[in-house]
Amino acid sequence: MKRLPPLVIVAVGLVVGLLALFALGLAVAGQQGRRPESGTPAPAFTLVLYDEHRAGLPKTLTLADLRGKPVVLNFWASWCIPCRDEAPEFEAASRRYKDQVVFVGANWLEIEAAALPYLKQQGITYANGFDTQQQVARAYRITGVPETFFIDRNGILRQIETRPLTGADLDAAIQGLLK
Amino acid sequence: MSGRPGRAARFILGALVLFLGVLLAARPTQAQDGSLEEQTREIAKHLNCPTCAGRNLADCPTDTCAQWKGEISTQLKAGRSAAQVTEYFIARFGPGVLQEPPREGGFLLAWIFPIVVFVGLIAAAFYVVRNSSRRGAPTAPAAATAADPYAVELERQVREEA
Amino acid sequence: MLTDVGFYAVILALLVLVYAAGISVVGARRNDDRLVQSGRTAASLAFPLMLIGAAGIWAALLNNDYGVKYVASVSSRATPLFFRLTALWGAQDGSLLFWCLLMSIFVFFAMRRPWREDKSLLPYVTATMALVLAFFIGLTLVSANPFARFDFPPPDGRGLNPLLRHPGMIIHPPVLYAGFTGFIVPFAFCMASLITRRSDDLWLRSSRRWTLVGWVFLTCGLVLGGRWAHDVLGWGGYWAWDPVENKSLVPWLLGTAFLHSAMIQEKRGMFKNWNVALMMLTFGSIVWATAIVRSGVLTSVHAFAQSSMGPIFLGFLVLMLSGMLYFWLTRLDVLKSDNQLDRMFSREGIFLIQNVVFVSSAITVFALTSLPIATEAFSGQRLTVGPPYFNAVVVPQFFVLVVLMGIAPLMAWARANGKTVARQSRVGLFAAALVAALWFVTFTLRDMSFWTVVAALLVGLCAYSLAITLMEFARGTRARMTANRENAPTALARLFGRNQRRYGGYFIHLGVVVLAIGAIGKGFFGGDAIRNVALNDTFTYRGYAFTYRGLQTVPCEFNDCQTLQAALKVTRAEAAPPFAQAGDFVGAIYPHVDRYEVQQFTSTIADITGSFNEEVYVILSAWEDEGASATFTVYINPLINWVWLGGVLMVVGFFLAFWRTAPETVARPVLAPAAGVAGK
Repeated sequence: MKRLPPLVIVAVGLVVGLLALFALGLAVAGQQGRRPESGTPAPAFTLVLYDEHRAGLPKTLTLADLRGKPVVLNFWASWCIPCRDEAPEFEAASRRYKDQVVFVGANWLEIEAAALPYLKQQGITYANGFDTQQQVARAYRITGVPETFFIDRNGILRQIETRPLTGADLDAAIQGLLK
Repeated sequence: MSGRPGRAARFILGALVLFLGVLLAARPTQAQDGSLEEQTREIAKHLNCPTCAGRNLADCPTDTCAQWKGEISTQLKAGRSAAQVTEYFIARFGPGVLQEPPREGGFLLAWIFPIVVFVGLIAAAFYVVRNSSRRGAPTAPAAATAADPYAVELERQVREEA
Repeated sequence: MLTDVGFYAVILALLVLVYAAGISVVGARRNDDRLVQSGRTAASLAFPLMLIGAAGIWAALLNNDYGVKYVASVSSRATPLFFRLTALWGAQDGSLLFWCLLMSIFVFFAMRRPWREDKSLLPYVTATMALVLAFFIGLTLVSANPFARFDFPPPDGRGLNPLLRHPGMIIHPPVLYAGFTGFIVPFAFCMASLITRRSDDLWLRSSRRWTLVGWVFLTCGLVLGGRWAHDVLGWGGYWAWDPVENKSLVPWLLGTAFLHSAMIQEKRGMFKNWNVALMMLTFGSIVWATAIVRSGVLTSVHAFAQSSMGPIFLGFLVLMLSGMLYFWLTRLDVLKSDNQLDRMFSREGIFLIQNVVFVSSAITVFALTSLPIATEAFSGQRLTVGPPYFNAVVVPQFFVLVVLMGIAPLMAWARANGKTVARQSRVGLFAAALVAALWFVTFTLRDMSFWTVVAALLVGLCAYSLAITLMEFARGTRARMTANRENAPTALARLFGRNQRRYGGYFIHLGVVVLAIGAIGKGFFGGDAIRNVALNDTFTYRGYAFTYRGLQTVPCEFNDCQTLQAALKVTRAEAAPPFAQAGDFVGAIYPHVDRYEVQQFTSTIADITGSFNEEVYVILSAWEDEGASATFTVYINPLINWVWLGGVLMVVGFFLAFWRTAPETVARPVLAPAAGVAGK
């Protein structure tokens, strides 16, 4: 067989490239809707906490910092009405399980001017921070707010909720984590 | 006769490339009245809003976007420059907030790509033509069919002084 | 009842098409015309069957049969009759069925055409069309079945997406789909020609008019889409370089390149493998666009995940692309040029450059629209490639095309003469200088900047092409007058009558230039501002005064929404001699915001006033204290109406090119080298 003419190489390359691109797109689109599964290690994250809402934690909070304690990770936004409904429940629960469970709120796509007044108005005292460049939201593949992730003391994801939660819901989930 | 048209073609091509270069090199500068609202809008036009697919921040009416616009105004009022405000948004939300790929680092590839494609394809066309004309004897040009006197007349006019 | 009949009709259509494809190939192999004719009949049956299928959905829509999932998602008891009918293409599932229906119409008419000299192509034309159509029907049934039913039907439906309740959006999808599906005819001829190893241009000539039909539908679809976006999306523009828009622009660019290069093959027997490649790329990009939009790859953030559709499309793309590649590569030796292109400075050379620019812009649009997919996959960052980027890298290429459009008619075939071209350019250059100068004085001086100077130059380029094109009409008329001794009007009329393709084509070029001038006006001289104003107060912007007259709630058109409507009086703030005085009344406008309770959706509808050359487009952005003050966004869109006018002219040009008023006297020239008369 002679050397392949450049035309053939270009044409074949084009077709293969196009198909690969489409497959890649499908893979990305497929992952989009697929959250990390419970029972698997929770994706690592780094969250920059608001100065007023550090709750004694480091400014740049990573999941590894919290190993040894169960974590409740909640995504929210100030304009989201269900978030507003569940916020007092979260605050109450965070006080109930003080020293046992770490509550972390992650703001979704908002600037401080919107986020901080909301936290103040809701009287939130647990740690809250900003998700730089949406890294956490991407790692957890959230599709909206509110979404809540329950992580046990070994860093294993135990439960995922994509609806607003009540105090009873939180109690049940946290009892599972503390077991 | 053979030299001149070739030079003319090269001249036209050169002019086109130069013209493209000028267009690419400069950026639109819009006359502004300088009010805070206008400045905010100007910055927002170059940003994307995450909750409004396909439209820029300035034209997007959602709540989150209203907050973002508010933030731009606040920062401008605090004396930050347009570039600084844009930097802030990139740092916070990633390079995806820009309406266009950033003109730096690996993203420059996105800007070079169209130029490479354009120049490359034109060069390839010239290469193919030169190769084929070298290989075969030049063929006679097509003639308008004699059946249509109008076509002959038209061809004659195009070829005048040829 | 009818809905079930429709479902089975669609299944039957699928079976019939598979049969048609198989029997045609067998017939061709055995050289048995009866089998080929049987395949032809079977493929034509797809259309009536698909029509029954569509009727099934229409029946369910009209009968409020909300047991059908699709019907419940796009219609409701409050939906008026007209929108119930158009709800067939109101969402994914139905619109895919509708897409198949349109494609089956093209297949039907292609099958029913008289097959004469091109009869040898018939079996493979049938097979190609039947396979492609069968795939889309199969896809509809497997992963987007609009006939699917609920176990427990809801009492009422959700109603049609409010964004789609606009005349532009009602017509836009059918027209665009017709453009996409119409290209199946030339594609099938192309494949048949390849498979049967033909080296001539039979496939081009047989499918030429079909290509034009597909092209004009695509053009109309793009323009209508722009109009819809302008009226409904409320950002004042008409083209947002949105991924979905881009995906329909790519086939248009490639298809337009093909229309031009096909002429070279018909005239000179050159560019054969290039034409085949372009046609395959055009149709490939259509299937690709459909795949990527429908499977949710493009807008993955907001996508309703179509889990099964993506892999099915991937499979089909693998088959189709490798099939095309195989037949193209194994037939390259057949597709040798009859003539050499030995000089770039010739009509063919200009066509080649023009083709290259079309393809280059198509590649850029395609690649950069797909770039976010790649960046997201590799870095997790979803990059945006928006209007500023495309305006900077693609629009200049379009202006190169406008210039080439002006030069090409002056170039002789095979070997042009620089002096002649320069001499015949004089009128064009004069027009360019004049128009650019006028433009500079009237527009640029008012708003001096680097870009408004560039705009004046660009308008000059447009004027050059416009003048040369008009000159072509004049020259053709004069040639006829000399050669046939006709008077001017007769000569002009016969010019169009006897050479529809050429002069219809030039007429389309006029439309393109007008559109380009409109784009310059809007792009370089448009402006927008946002203003807050108290009740009965006035603000001014760009020479207009806007007086806010109040805000009121009115019932909306279909009683399923609340409309909050602002009233504004627009007058001239400054005189624009010699046409207008300061204080002249321009218009009363009522921009409004519609709130849909059921869909939880708000749409902002602009209102428009101004003149033909300068549109004033106003949006109600916000309001305070029940209308004590309100915020408006005002867009001044100079010459935007020229964009629509250009689109209309392009369609008119299509009709001029398409209708056969007289048998074509110019037969394909015989291109034996010795036949040249002007070969000096």
